[in-house]
Amino acid sequence: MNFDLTPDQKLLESTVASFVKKESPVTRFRALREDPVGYSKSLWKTMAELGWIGLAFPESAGGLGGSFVDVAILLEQFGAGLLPEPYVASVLSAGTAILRAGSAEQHEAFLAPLLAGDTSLALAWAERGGRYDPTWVETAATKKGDDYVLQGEKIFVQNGHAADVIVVSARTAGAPGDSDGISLFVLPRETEGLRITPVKTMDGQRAAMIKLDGVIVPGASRLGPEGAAAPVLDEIMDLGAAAACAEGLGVMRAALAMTVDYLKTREQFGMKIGTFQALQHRAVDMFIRTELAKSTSILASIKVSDPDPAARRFAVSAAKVELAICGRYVTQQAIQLHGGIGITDEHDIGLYFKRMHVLNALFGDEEHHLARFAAQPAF
Amino acid sequence: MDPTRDTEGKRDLRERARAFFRDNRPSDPGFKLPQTFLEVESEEQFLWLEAWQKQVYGAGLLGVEWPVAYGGKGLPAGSQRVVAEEMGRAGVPFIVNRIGLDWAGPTILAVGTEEQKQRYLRNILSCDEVWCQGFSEPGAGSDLASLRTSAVRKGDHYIVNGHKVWTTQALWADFMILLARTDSNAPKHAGISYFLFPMKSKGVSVRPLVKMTGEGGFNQVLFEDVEVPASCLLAGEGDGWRLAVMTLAFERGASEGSATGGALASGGEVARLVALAKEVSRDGRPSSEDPVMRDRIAELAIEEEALLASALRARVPGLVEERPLALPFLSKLVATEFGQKLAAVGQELEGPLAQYAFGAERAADGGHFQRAYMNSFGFTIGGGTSEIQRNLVGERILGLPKST
Repeated sequence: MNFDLTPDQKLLESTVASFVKKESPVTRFRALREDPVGYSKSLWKTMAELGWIGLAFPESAGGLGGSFVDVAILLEQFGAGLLPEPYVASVLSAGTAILRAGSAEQHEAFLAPLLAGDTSLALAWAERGGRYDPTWVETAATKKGDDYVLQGEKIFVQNGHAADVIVVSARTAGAPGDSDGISLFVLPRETEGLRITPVKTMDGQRAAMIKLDGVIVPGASRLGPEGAAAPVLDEIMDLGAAAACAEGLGVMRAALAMTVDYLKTREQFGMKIGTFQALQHRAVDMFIRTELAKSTSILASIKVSDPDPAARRFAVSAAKVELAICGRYVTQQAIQLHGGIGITDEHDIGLYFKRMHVLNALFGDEEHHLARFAAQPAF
Repeated sequence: MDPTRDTEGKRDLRERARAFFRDNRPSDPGFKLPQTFLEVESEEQFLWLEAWQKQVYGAGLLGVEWPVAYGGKGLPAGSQRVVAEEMGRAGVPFIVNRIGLDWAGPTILAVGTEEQKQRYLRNILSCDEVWCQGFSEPGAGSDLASLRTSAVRKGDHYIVNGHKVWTTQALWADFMILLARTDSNAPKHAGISYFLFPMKSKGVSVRPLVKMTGEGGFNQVLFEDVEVPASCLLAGEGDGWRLAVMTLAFERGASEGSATGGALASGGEVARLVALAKEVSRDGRPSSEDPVMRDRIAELAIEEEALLASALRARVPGLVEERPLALPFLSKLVATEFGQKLAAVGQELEGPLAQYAFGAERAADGGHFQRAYMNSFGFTIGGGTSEIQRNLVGERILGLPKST
């Protein structure tokens, strides 16, 4: 197994880093907090033109055939700059659902515009009773002639507030918690009966609660065979978790850098506060946690594409737990070491703290992944 | 540890090591073996471990990264770690001449003369000559540079006087890497020199110390007008501090178990904890079925995974180029504190059984984790305390101002 970055990947890393610095300083995110979309459609288009959306798709689907390690390089830099464009929701969640389960016609219809940066997507999988279980699907899809009627409710749909196309999981058979009987449907935003309520998340980004009230969709909008979507959703959960680890690493690195910088400039008692051993040691512990999370995040980026689901789960759950423990520590201490200014909205450090909080809640929290890790046969 | 992470050459070495440690696992010697190289206390233990090292070296599994000319195998960096991982996995005893292999040897390789390399290195690997370390003194612990042991030049000799402490294996050592002050007028860091000091010289006395585990291993060493040849000096007079920093860097790398089978972070201890959890019970069922203990063990297993992945990453320049020294610096600090935490969880798993003395008949796993817990402090203190390590990382890696 090769841990090193290729020259192409190093180039990608520096390109993204300078793009984020130039096009998306944190002041941009601050301003977008008041915007109903919360990100820029023109920047999204630029990102597509740079090939970053294509990176996540195989050439057969019109992409550039990159690896998840390439994607993780992007995400880490997005995290460092709090870039709010809906990469994970559009590309890794809904995009993967269409890629894996969809037909060539559906790829053409929905992935081609995404790859061009003309649309963004969302995947509505979570339900109130299901916590992090994508098989907990109460939403029903009832066959009616050649159509289906969808009835139910989806929560915290990332990019659901702005997506042009929404992929919805619904049950064509079985009961909540059953792996069998889950189907995916792809719906244009304007579909009648789709009731989208935007919500603000605590980090200043947006999502949506979606009610499906007798929504009638044609049979042709189903992705893949009826009732067989569970493995696709299972993979998407791991992709999302690995993505959160990569983005979170960027968040941690930025928070650490800001804190170390603050320790070197802030003066009290007539000297730089970074002179105090108690604060130095805290900063070192933040550094240690960042490095450990980086190691597990790299491992997850490599293993998330492993054909063996057990190997994938092992590395992804380890990394997501490590992100929770380390990311929480680093951002908590970042606030603490900034002192009073750290708890104001005026200072950026709180934005990183809140983003980490949301990342920890996405695609399985610490407890969820710890339990999954402990469920391995070795235990 | 996942063998798919190896390059082809390493995979080959790993398979060879795995087979060797599987087929040559030593049988019970009939007496208590020490847990680490820091606790060797009897001649009986030492001779047994010496024979074990000879056997492992004979199998071509020691000094694998050292040049062939000095008895090594000339394999790429990271190869010895592969062997160490397999030792951890097999749960075989450690390699005894650790100071020679991880402290003295790499320093001699880096700065020694050709003659010194020929003279010392091969015998370190074969355990024909054992080494100890004479750095700390009663008055020079974390502030090592304030050491007062003196070496005064007199013709072709140096006359050594002073007092060293925490000297592991001094009872059997043939040589000591010794820091002594050769210039008492120079600033404290500048007046220190580094010697390859023959322990069997006249005027050297060794006094054993007993640790809280009841075991020996540490000693005090006293020097009374000891006359040694001037050729014992490594590099030049006044180079001692620079070389000591180098040796301590090798030591930091070694403490994560990189070279000679230290159990920390080599994959064996979490598995041992899982075995313990299956052995002890809680509320009438194995502790391995208790959700709280399962979570705690899983957390440790994940942290161990993070340490193993970090060790791999440390060997890939592209992944550390931002801060090239960071991971070697961190490895000692993180791995030793992890080992301490792990041993403490072992105690928690045992519950009331944790009161048994090490070696008591009914102690769980023979009291392994009681002893590991007590011994773990030797690692968070020795080789620069965790606090000194944090100072170093803060100043040298994060660029924080020097603390007052």
